[in-house]
Parts: sequence; structure tokens; C-alpha cells
Amino acid sequence: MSAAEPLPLDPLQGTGEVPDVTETAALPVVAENGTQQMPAITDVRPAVVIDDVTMVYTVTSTGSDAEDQVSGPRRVLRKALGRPPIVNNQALTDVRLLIEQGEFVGFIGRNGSGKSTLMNIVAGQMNATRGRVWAVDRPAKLGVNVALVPALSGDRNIRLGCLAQGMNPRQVDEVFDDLVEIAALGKALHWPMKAYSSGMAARLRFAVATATNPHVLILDEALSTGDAQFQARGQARMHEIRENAGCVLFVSHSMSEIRQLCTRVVWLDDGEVVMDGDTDEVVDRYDEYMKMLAAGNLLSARSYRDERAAEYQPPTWVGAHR
Amino acid sequence: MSTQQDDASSAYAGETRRSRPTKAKTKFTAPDAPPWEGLTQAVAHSSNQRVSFDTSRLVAVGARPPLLEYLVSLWGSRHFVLYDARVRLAVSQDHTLLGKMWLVLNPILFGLTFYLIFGLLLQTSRGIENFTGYVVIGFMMFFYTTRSFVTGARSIATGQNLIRGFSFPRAALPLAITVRQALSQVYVLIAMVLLVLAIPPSEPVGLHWLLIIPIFILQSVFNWGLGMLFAPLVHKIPDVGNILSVVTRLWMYGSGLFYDPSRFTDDPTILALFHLNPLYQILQMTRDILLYDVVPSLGQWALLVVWAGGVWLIGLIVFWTNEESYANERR
Repeated sequence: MSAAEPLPLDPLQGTGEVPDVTETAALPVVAENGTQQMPAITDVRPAVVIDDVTMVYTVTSTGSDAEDQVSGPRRVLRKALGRPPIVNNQALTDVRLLIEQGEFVGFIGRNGSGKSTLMNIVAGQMNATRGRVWAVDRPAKLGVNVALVPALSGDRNIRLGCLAQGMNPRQVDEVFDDLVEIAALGKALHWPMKAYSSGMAARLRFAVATATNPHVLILDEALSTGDAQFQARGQARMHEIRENAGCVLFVSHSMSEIRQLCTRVVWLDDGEVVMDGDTDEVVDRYDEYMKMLAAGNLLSARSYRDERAAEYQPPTWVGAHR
Repeated sequence: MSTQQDDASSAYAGETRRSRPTKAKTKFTAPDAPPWEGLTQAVAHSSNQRVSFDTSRLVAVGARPPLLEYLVSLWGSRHFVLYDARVRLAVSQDHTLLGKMWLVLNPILFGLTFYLIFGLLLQTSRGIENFTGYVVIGFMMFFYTTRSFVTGARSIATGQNLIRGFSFPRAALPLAITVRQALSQVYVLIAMVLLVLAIPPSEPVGLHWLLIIPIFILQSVFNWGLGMLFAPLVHKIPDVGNILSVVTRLWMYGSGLFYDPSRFTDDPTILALFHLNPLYQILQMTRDILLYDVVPSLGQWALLVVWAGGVWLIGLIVFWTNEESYANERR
């Protein structure tokens, strides 16, 4: 934990009701039927631990006063200057997840449910308002927005991206031909990246992101702009990463893709986890919910979601001496 | 359904979900320590299982390393810095017909305008020996720092794609810009020396002309420090970016680009301010070497070293302190 700020801290923070660390290991868990049982502790190898992440954006809004405006001198100052108010937008609320090595986790949810925000925070591209993400390795993320340096040609962008990930020139030379092959850009390799289509840019970016064999790969709708050939290549590469004791976090709106690839699915809605578990079960429930929404049954859809959310129990963790 | 779950459902139900108290702190705060702080093992509970995991293998994503570690990783990113500086300089003129030739043509044409105005049209010297050379050196050395300063201060915004894409010490961005500007300044220096030789009265070449090199290095370090010092500020308050040009203009008049301050005032405090100005010293030292066959005094060198080293150190610490904030985008 050398990278963490040493803060004097109650080791039980975040658990509340647990009285003692050493006793926690023997704490009984209330099962569904109300009887107490003691599941055995199994050792796991987490790849990513998302610890109580909350994200509040501030954005300038041209909307009404009904929104949650930032308080304090900043609000007064902006009002005095006649600038549009800055409002708070809570994108994530207390997300806690433990993702093990070898898992292929799908993230599903409506637009604006917080999927991309969570991915950005896991990748360290955004600071959570509260909470932290812990990972075995610096995650590599591939988003929809894939432009690197638009003025540079594809091959120069590959080289620059590899060097930016800490490779040295000799290592880049070694993998360069492979990356060119993965990207499969043909003569466009030597064109400036600003001339690329979104699918071509995604190919290049994918090749660069997987060059270092990351342990944690995040794909935020990254394959959606690609064609069938690229999607097949991408999926093959993702399986390699999983086999390399890594994990893949996968955001997609294509339920068939999710069913086909994922070993576990997390359903996010309104910045909170609604369900987390077996792929088919979660996707079935989500499909049901989306059908209700599409049919215009907003109230029943909401209560359906709330029922699922009520069943969900977020994991908690405490420190333990061994 | 157990009572425990009934409690949970009321806590999650409807709009009450949204209004759970969450402090709307958007400012960057120190990373929250995990519940396993200081322990190597943690136990996780979920609804149907209990697992334990080794926490010593987990690192905080995006956390700022200690200063020394930070410097080591900055050294590790040297290949990236050099490549970035080199290729961006190479493509900076790709949209033009003449391409890279502009890297040399620009400074030469720049210098020739001064020769045209001061040497041929006005024929004024304001009591300064080799006035054309004086002005050419003034502008060429001064604008190196302002170019580097302004682009370095905006390096976080221009490097946003790379920040979003990859993890590297963010100090690599202002450094890459410093290196790029230094590379282009090499062409400027060559043009400057050629002009000093070509424009009458031409000056005799001497070995002491090599002292231009340490001046160039010290000036580059100074620029690097300035970039690191202002990049976090411009990132936090974008309005500062607009003020930078005002600052550089004021600085220009305070550095004696085309006049000798001692001709206008005898006030010792004003003169002392000029002499403490690192850019005024850089300009004077370069003119002494190239035009007047004078080797700069130890005092001048010391002043320059203190300025460059001091600004670099303060800039580094300020930039490093704000390392995690560069991930925060403005929306």
C-alpha cells in the first residue's frame, strides 16, 4: 500500500455494525431463510476492488433553479457575474464491487446510469468524489472516444501510445509488427489519425491498449464501432487477457454480446447497483425491465427495479489479521 | 423475506434512494484509506459467501506516488517525452507547402524584419553599439521563454487525450513541450548566430561563443519550471490562460528587448529590478558574448542558476502536489 496516503483511520470504517476485526472473521451471515450459517472463508485473488465509490459531477446548467446547485461563494459569484449556475449531478452512489482475476464482468444499464463514469474511475481517468479503486495493475481502458493525437499518423500514434505506457523503444520495436497486424489498417496506417473513421480509430486504439498485456482491461462500448472482423479479433484478444490472470470489464448495450462473453453481470441504474450476479439471470431481469420501459409502464418498471435493488446486498469488507 | 431485507427495501425505495446524504464535494480530496489500511489481509462479505483476499498486492488506482518515486517514473517516461516532442515538432508544419523548412525560415525572417526596420529604415542606434544585433538577440532569446511558458502552462489541456488514455507521470507533458520548444529554439539559435555574423557590423567569432550553450540549458530549465508551475493553475482556473499574454507583454517591456534601461532612468531600485529579472540577464549575457566579446560575470551566472533551479524545484513540487487533479475534466 505504499501508494496510499497514510491516514490515521479506524480499520472498521465502512462496516459500521462490526465491532472487532478479529471477531469479524467469525461473524455469522444471515441467510435467506433466516437461519444463521457460517460459510467457510475462501481465499480469492481480486483484480479490482471498488471501495465505496461516489461521484458527483458539477456541470454548468442552463436549466431552472430546481436543480441541486453548488452552494457557497462560487454560486454567489456566478450569479453576480450573470453566468449560468453550476449544478451537482450525482452519477454514482456508494458502489462496492469485488472483481476477481479471470472474471469477465459485463456492465449494463440505461444511458446515463453511470456505467462510463464508473469505468473512468476504475481506469484512474477521473477522481471519485469519495472512495477509491484498488487494482492489481493499472487498468487499461478503451472507450468510445479513441482519438490519440489527431495530427500524427497511425504508426506514430501506435509508437507514441506504447511509449506513453512505459515501454522502451526496443520493446516497441519488438511488438510493433504484431500491433500493426492486430490493427489491420492497411495503407491507412500512415495517414494522420484525424482522417480515420471511428472504427479505424478503435482498431488502432485497441491494438495499443492491449500491447502491454494489461491485467485489467476495460472496454467501454469500444467494440461497437468495429466491424465483424474486428469484433472477432477483439474477443480473441480479451480471452487471452483473461487467461493471463487478468479480468475484463465490459460495457455494452448489446445483450447478445453480454450473454456470449460475460461470466458475471452488474446492472447499474441511477448510479447504483441494482443487481450483481449470474449473467443470464441479470440480463433476463434487465430485459424485462427495459420491455416495461419501452411499453411505457414507467411506474411498474420502477417498482420492478426497486424490488431488484432491495434484494441486492453490496459486499462489505474489513481488514483482518492472519 | 427476512426483516433485514425489509429494512433494506425501505432504504432503497423510490426517491429516498437519491436523497441519501452524500457530501457534494467536487474538489479533489485526499484518497480515502481502505478499511484494510495497514493490514495485509481483508475479508469480504456478500449475501452468499465470505471471501478473504491479500491486500498487499492491490494498489490505489491513480494515486500520487512520493516525490522521489515520481521523479524515477518521470525518468522512465523519457522515451515518450522525446518521441512526443520530436514527432509533434516534425508535423507542426505539415499543413504548409514548404513543411519543415519553416522551422528555419521562420526565425530567419523574424530576424530580418528587425534588420529591415532598425538597420535599414530607421538607422537608429539609441546609443547602443550594433543595435540591430542587440534587438535580434533580444527578441529571439525572449520569445523562447514566452513560447515555452504559454504552451507549457496549457499542457494539461493539450494533452487531455493522452491523460485519458494512458497512465504516465503527468509532468511528462510540460516536459515534452519544453523539449519541443527547445528543439525548435536550436534552429532559432543557429539563425541568430548567422544573422549576427551576416548583418554589419559583423562580430569576430571566438571560443567563448560556446557559452551560449549553458545559457540555453539554464533558460530551458527555467522554462520547464515555469510550465510546471503554471500548468496546474491554468487547469484549475482556465481564466488564467487569458491573462498569460498580458503577463508576457509586461515582462517583455521589463526585459529591455530594444532599449537599455540605464538610458532612461538612474533610479537604482528600478535598475536593480531589471538586473534581478532572469530574462534581462539572459538577454544581456547573450549580447555580451556575441556582440561585445565580454564573458558574463560569476554573479550573472549565479543569478541565472538560482532562478532556473529555484523555479524548477518550486514548479516540480507544485505540479506533483496536484498530480491527481489532472484527471478531473472541466465540463
